[in-house]
Amino acid sequence: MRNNKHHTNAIALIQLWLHGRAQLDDNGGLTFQSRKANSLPEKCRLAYQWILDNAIYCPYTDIEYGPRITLGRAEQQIKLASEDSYASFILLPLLTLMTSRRLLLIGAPGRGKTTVATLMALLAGYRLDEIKHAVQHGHPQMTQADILGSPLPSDLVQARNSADIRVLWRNWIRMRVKIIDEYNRIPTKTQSCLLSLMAEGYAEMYEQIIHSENSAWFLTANDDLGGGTFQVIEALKDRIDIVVRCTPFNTHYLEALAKRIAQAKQPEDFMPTDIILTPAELDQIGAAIRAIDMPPEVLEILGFMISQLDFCRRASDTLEYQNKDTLHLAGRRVGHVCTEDCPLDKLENLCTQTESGVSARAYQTIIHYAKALAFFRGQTTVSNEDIRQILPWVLHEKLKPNPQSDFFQKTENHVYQTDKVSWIRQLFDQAITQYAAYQPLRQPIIELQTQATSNNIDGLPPQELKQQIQTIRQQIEDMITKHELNAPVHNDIILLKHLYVQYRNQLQRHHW
Amino acid sequence: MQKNTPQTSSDTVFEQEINRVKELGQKQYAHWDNELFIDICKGAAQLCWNSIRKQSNRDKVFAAYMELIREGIGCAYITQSLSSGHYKYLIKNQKTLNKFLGITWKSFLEYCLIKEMPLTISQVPAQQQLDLMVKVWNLGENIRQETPWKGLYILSRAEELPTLTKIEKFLVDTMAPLLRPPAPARWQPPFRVSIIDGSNIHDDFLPGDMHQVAPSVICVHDRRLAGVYGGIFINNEPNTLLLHNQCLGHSQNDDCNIALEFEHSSVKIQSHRVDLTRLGEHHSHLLCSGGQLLVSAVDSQRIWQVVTG
Repeated sequence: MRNNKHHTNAIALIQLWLHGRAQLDDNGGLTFQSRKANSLPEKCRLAYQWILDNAIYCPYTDIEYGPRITLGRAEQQIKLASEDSYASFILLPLLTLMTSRRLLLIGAPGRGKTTVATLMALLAGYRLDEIKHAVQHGHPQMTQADILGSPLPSDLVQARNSADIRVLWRNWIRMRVKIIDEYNRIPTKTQSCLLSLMAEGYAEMYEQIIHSENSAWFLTANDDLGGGTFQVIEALKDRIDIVVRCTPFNTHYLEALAKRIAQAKQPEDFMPTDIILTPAELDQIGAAIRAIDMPPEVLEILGFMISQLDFCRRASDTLEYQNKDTLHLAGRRVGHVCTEDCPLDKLENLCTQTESGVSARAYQTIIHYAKALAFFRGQTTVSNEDIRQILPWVLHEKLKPNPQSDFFQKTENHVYQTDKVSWIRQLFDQAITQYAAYQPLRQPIIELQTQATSNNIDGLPPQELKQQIQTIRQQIEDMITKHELNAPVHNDIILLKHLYVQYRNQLQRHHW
Repeated sequence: MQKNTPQTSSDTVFEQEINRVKELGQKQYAHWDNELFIDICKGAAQLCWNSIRKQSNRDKVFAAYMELIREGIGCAYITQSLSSGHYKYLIKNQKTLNKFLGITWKSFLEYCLIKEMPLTISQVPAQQQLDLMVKVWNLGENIRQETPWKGLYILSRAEELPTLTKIEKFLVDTMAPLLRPPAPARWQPPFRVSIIDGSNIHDDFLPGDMHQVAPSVICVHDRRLAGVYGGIFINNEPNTLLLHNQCLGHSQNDDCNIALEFEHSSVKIQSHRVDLTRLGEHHSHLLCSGGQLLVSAVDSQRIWQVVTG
């Protein structure tokens, strides 16, 4: 009986297997139903791999995970990744498409900048001819009308007021992928009309407004310094989220190029349909990326590092003004004050290495791209390594080094003056080490912060408010007398002072 | 006089179909491997065409076969081909084992599409060929999507498939013993001890963590080598040992509340001592539903198998 039962089970199993995707149509031809779609991260990885194998020959993998395998000797070493690794030149544009952010590709002519941007537009489902017509090519005669569109001439003649004028907006404004080629050849005046489109997502003309949907921007420039025919306005530069450098062509792929010539085919001509993302998929990807978890400890380390870059003890004796903005507003530079007069160790403290800090906008960009990277790798949470990998690209043009820092004078650190990616990574690595060492000091501060968050300050009785005020004052006293006023200590004192003010204000309200 | 030899027009049909499929494949699939496709055309596709070219429905049947190849390459189910030389040899020596071909098939589906089908499709009545192709694909793809141990086991027995027309019976006969539930475990003497040699799974296999993925299937992870897993099929006598590059499935261990106490080269099962000769210090163990205990040692490729009465 038992023998029959498992035999019956086997028959039932095989019967189940007989139902599948293959079938015969009415004409007797064999057809397939659609395969269950790959998960979206898998599809993105497939797209990345296809571009790497068929379109952009880029052996330069500079986003690498896992412990390094070191080969060679001290004077000449190569480090290999032990886990997955990617080429930033291909991955970062793909992450930009997935996050609908703004990326600048810089590099010498003919390196594939426009090709990469075109591939991203193809991935988003546009036809090649559509994309070619929609690319905005910067040139010195470019006007607002060239970029945005122009009013209907008949309306201009007949209109009694501006609301009567209809504008023929350019089609590219509504596209999900926007490509601006050689943006630094656009006249400065015309750059301004790009700005509101990039920054706010709309453009205005004759009181008509057009909204551009959520879109990914790809800008290209030949000149590394962002110069070109025209100066790029700072506000526009600031709106660029991430910068990618094009890589030189590697001659091992010459045969592939020769094949392309022989076949008269470019990769843009044959992107396979199974990696093209529908608008719905792009929306899903965007939402899924935002939902990736960002653990508090990862955020803390990021904050720990970046808060140090803004700090400048010599900018002022007032706690609130001890930052680099204070210096810059006074027309001074970090190099002027970061001298032996500052008691902080120039090799240990990160603040000495940079001329500038980092804006809140850059924080958001780092978080968003780190989430996208985690999503791409099939992870559900962001790790420190994701932050470490994405930081150099987001901060590449935003973080200015202080070349006069003692840090850069050390022989082994000279290379960081040219290799910004490695410099920013070492900043993060140093920050992680310092964070671990600093943690024991933070325990009482974390407790005070937790108490303030969990207590309803408004509901605390005066006695308890006074006690908390006293505790905070004592903690500040301890910190300032027992520890050097460096960036992490400064950051915590600012926090404690803020808590002190909250409690004191509440006590004041009781007296009223 | 106009020449219109059937051979010429037949070659044209063959070429046209190849070109059609190649173009569609490149347009659709990121995984499309053109070189593999060309190799398959020279081997399997050519053989298939030659064997059915006199059939009245040859165009439809060949087109169907090429659709299977196209979808198979595009989905990365087909990753290798046999050469025309291989096929010539196989036609003459039908019982040639895979190991003498120097090929390791990745899945039962790949085996059927690249080896069995081109060699034997012409032996199937012409009117049944299309339905058979649909059947083979659906069975093969669904097996791929099952937990890995099923596909692994079926593939290990693939050479016992008598003909494609008997594929359903073959699969039932293959799977039935594995689906037999074990007898309830008694954990009482007599205990029978035997040794499973891990080197029969892989030369350097060192047994690590073990878990039960089905009533009669154990997955053993190699302790050192990434991507090396052993499957032990304990319903077979002797046990079937297979190597795989991924874990064979999720653990389906029932919690066995059996008192175990390991000592040097022995174990007490519910206070009954069982000698495990040369075990030494034990590394890991697994209590299987059905009354078996598997034990690995710290320094040995062997697995001690204790079967309870």
